[in-house]
Amino acid sequence: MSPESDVSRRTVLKTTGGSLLALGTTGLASADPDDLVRVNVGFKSDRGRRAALDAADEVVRQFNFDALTIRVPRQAATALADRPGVRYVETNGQMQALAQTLPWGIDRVDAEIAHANGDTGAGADIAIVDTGIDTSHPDLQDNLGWAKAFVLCDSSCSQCGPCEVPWDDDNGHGTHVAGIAGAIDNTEGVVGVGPGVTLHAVKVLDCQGRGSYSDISAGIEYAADRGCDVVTLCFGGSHSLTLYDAVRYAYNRGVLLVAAAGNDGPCTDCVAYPAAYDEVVAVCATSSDDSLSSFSSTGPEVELAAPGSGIYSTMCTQGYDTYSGTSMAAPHVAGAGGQLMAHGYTNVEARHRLQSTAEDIGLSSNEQGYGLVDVAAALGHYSGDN
Amino acid sequence: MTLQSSVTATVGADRVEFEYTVENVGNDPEDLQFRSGLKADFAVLDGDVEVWRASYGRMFTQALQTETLPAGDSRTFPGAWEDPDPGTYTVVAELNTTGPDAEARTDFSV
Repeated sequence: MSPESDVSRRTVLKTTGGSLLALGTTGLASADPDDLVRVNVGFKSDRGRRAALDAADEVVRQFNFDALTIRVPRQAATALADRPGVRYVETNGQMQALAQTLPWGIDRVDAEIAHANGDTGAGADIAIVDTGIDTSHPDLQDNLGWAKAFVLCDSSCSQCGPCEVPWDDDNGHGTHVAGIAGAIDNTEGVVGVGPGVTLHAVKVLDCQGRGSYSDISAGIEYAADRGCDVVTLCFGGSHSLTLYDAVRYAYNRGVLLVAAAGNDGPCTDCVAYPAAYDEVVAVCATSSDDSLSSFSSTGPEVELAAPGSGIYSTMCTQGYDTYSGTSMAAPHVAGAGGQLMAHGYTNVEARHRLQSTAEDIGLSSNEQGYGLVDVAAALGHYSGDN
Repeated sequence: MTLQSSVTATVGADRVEFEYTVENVGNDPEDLQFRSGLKADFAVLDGDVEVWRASYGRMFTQALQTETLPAGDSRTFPGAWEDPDPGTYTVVAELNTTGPDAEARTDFSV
């Protein structure tokens, strides 16, 4: 780093609230880098001014002193701060730049209405039985509770950088699932269905996204023994007697089990295990137009539908990414279950409540089950089904 | 379809190792959209009876993953059958994608 950029960094850090860098480069790097943000750029040379103009999508204002207000892709704004001749890059007033994104799925299940009414799921414990969770993610970190690994986090094959702790995410999948269920309601990134829930990383899947029946069963057993309200099972395979035992063990101890229906679609009567077990809520995936996601498995076991195509959520290495899958649908339901259980519902009561308040989106019963999960309606808030 | 596939079986002392290769023989890149954490699977048949499947005993993440296979490039997937009983078998390998399964098979003896 050049002395000059050192200076510009310090200058930025000295400013309060509105500074891009004061809020952390993570926040900037995190949300969609192509999002346009409005920033004020101070420069000390024509070189700095040109750098700002070159980066700008639109020049909003040119001051008589050495500063500009421009609209610029978020990524470019970050880079601009380190350019020679640039004194500072500061977010402009409204903070749109770092505003939190409301992912379409969270909006579609009316979780934001629950949030507006003060329901965050605080008090609920959700075990993400998966590939682990990025333990240093700013949109998750404060919601993380105890954690446990039943398979090694493997830095050598990690797609997420080195493993800091055994239950760190070396694949990315678990972090994405966790964010849908319970990303924090703050000024950056995304928000989850239950932004106040406690998320527990139970690592049972390896860096390639696979796990043995035994490891998965041990993870489910552990989550049940620790008194979790909800577990997410965003994986699928064939029937396993051991896994079935673990599922029943957890269910009988009051755990709401929510699983991905599977990605074998288009197909009929093809729901994967463990979603296909009676004790498990099988969730199929929908697109933003309420159609069934083409990849979603369907069948009589499908209990609820939830958004699963093009879902933006947290990703390992403190980032964000868009994934599609029934793995993305299930945590919408898990977060909804957590919201109810935070109010004292048992697993069985929560399940019935989610069924009876689901929104009919006009798909067949093998495709939508009781319908699309509706968080606001489940909690008794008017949702208007929008 | 511009994917060409092949599978080899190498019989060792107490295992058979498989190597399944999918090659893009077309002139354009091909997107492989995997359905889950299971990208490719192997099944061993004794006549018409399936006696082993690589994915058996495991569960897989249910998120789609896309990899682009440039024109002329190939992608190899390994597999291994431990402690096989003596006999003559066929291994069938296929992709688990939303596109073509690119099935390949070969016979081998233990």
